[in-house]
Amino acid sequence: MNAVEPGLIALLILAPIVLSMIVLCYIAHKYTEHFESLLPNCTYVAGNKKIFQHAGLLGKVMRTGSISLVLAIPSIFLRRGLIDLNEVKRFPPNMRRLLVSMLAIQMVLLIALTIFHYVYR
Amino acid sequence: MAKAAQVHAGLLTSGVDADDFFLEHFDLLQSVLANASMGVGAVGEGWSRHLQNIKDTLEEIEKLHRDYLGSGTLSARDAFYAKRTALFMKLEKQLGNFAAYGSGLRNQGKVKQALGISTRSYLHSGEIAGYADKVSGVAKASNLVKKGTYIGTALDVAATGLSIHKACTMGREDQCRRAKYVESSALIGGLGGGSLGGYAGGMAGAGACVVVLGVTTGGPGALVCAVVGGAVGGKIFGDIGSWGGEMVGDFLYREVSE
Repeated sequence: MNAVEPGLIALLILAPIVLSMIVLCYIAHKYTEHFESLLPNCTYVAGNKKIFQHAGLLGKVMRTGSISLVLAIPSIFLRRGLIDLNEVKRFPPNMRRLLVSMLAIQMVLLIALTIFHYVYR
Repeated sequence: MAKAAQVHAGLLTSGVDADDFFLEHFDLLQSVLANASMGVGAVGEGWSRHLQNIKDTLEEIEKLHRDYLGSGTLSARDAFYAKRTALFMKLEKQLGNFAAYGSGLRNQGKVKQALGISTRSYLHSGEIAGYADKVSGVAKASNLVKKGTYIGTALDVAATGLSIHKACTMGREDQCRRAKYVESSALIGGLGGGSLGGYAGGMAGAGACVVVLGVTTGGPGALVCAVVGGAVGGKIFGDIGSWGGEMVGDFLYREVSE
């Protein structure tokens, strides 16, 4: 196990994290409003827009993130009646793939970082 | 009128200086401004807007008192009491949730006592004692929270610069070179981990509260969840990221110098 350099592993986890945050900021800056216009009847999306609309780029990142979460696991939001399933289904598939895979990559990276921390601490 | 002038100065500048407010809340500020700042900053704008609303209510109460004092007729009295009660209730509601943290007005019993006013004392002195400090405190807290991320990031960068500088002035040349690699990697790792962790934590916090606990979406409750989640996520992953960054820096330094 110790044959692999821990610093290299850390690099392979942290570099994609930084990269993914930059990509996320770009997507959020450019497309947040567009995504929201595709989900007008989802109260969860509208609520997050209300909270974060004055928060600049960081707020847009949070809004995009919550939309990704809705697209990734619509069922739990549906149970509370927070989203309109038809709108979620109509969401353009390529955009959905982009957002959901970004979210998945980021979660995997966070889990990898956590595991790495506990192994090499 | 001296106090009124102080309020206005406080509200206009609402700069951050080392006064009582800053000292009183130092532990809170410090914990917020460290690694958690990334997470809090993402959601802190809403928090600061909530504080802003509290400030507006306080100003309305002040204005009401001033108007009543200006007219001063007995017939205006009932209307004054009714309006004031309404404003007090509004303020109590605003203070009644966690997002009021930082206003310096929480857990002080009834609103009247917290503001340090009673009709009589107001009529006698012509000012709301203790009120001026509180409003400027709110404005300051709100401003600080808003700038939290940037202040925190700046502090991180400054601390990194300082430790590199220290290694370069006190240590040998290779220590200086090593510090450049290790400290700057730790900074990048901390910022990367902190921002991703804060983002994930904020999202998870808001999502969990709305879905599991049934908090109204878009309301102050959801916001508080997002703030807390963001702060916790930012803090934990900021620390881990900065620890991982150090290892990366160490690794890169050894690769380069070999």
